[in-house]
Amino acid sequence: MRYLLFALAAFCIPATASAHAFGLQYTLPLPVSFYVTGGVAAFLISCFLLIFVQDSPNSRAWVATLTPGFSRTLRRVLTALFVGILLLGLVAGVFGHQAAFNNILPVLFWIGLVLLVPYLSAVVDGFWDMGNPFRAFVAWILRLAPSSEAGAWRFGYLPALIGYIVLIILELFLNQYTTLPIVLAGVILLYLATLVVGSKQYGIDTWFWFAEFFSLFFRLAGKMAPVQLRERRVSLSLPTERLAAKGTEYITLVIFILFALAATAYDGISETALLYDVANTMAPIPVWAIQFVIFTLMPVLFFGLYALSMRALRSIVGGTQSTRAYMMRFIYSFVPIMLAYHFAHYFPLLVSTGITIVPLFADPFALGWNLFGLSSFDTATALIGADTVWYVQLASIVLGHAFAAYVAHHIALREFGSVRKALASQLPLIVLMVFYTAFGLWILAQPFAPGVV
Amino acid sequence: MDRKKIAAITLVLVGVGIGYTYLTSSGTDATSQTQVFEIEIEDQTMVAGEEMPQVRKGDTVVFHITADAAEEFHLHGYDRSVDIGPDETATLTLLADTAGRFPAELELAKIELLVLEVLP
Repeated sequence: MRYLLFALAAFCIPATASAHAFGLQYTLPLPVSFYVTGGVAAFLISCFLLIFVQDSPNSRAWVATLTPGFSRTLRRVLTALFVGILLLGLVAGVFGHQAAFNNILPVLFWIGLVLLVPYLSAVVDGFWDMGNPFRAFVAWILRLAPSSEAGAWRFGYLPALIGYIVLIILELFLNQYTTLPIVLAGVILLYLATLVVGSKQYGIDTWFWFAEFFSLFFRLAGKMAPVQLRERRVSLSLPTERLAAKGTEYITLVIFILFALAATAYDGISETALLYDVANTMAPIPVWAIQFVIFTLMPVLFFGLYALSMRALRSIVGGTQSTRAYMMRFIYSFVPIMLAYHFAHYFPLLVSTGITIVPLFADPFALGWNLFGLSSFDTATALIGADTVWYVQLASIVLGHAFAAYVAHHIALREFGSVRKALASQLPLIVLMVFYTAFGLWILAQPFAPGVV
Repeated sequence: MDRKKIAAITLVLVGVGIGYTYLTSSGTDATSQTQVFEIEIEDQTMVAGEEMPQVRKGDTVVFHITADAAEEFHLHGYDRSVDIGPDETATLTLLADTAGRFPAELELAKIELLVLEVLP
């Protein structure tokens, strides 16, 4: 039903509305030297970790207690801030200028929510939970219309996975519509409606834990954070323990993480000359159809490779658990790679388009306002050279790989007891991680298709 | 510290050193130039001119633009614009001090004309 409504909304778009020029990136393909260096570095770091790291991680944390009053105030401030931003975006989306680059909503959503919040969550875990505007909205609705007894939850993370797949499809295949402010506002309102219905049926806590994909994605990113913000407590610790302590009980979470990885990889490859050359050989099949087939096959490939590596691991260690169990145990070691992929790919967009929030905030409804004198802010001052971007991308992917290998090694030490067995078990995982890392760098090194920016 | 660990650390340090040397030696040491590009626009289409002009970081880029109708030539990223029209050839000059790929378009019609590549 939501797709029908969306399609109808798409056909009602005024002819003058335009998504043109939203989300421009000014990057250049990664030079071969960076690609080779990154791949070699990933391999060497993996070898280094296997040889050098033979002890369990230091799980000590520095903890500070927050007073009830401070904690309550912090929650209220964050909630008010995020709810205010959500309302501003929705009002601007419905009533503001309908060109994407003249409206604050597309930047708030595609850059602020989809990119900035997960990266901030990887630094400070828990701030989104404290001020989640979606949850605040749903809780307010449920106070007006309380639900009866919540239904039993039997779906794992499947609804979150489906929601995330829908988001990626909207982003990659329908962005000429979903960057249009009024369409985007409609999508967000529809999503809020699903959150209300799901929370009413299964309870707000259950729904926001298992089915609200933004919360899930930010929570996964937060597993990397050195700072954790909780009710009445803030702590500082290495994130290794949170990633290595235990796995997941749900295979749907394994699929979610691997899909996130594959989706980013697909986005990187979707506008390369290589894909267009392949698509042209299959004419008259349209390019978008080829792209969609690759989009559906990429997660299958990533999942298959991961399953194979776990199967090999099980054989090497003579494990008594199933391959599925090992997949669920080791999956958190791929969170650093997932986030590093994501950051390397979208960092240029975060900077080039994110900076436009400054003049847009000064005039969110395109009425000629000049709040705080920021309308004339020169966004070109935030232009980052492609050469600088290369170093950031290379560092992100290599460091993500290094941390992933480090976590996987600690999981193996916990699972298999002996150092020798743990080392042996790592071979298929290291091969897979080096492949993912090299593949990510290879994608970044591909030339763009003509006409693509 | 045992020999294995010493070997591992040495291996990593050597790898980092080689990688750094490889990365930093990849670029050329060309002197800056002034690159001039002639662009002719008819009926909102670029009928003459390069679709992907390439320059080096540090070059001075000059666009000479002739058009059969009034419009605005806008270079994204650098955020530089010049009004164009049938009366005279418009000129846009800029210092390419940031590497990357930067599209230029007819601002009013939202039609992309070319992509300027500034190589490091």
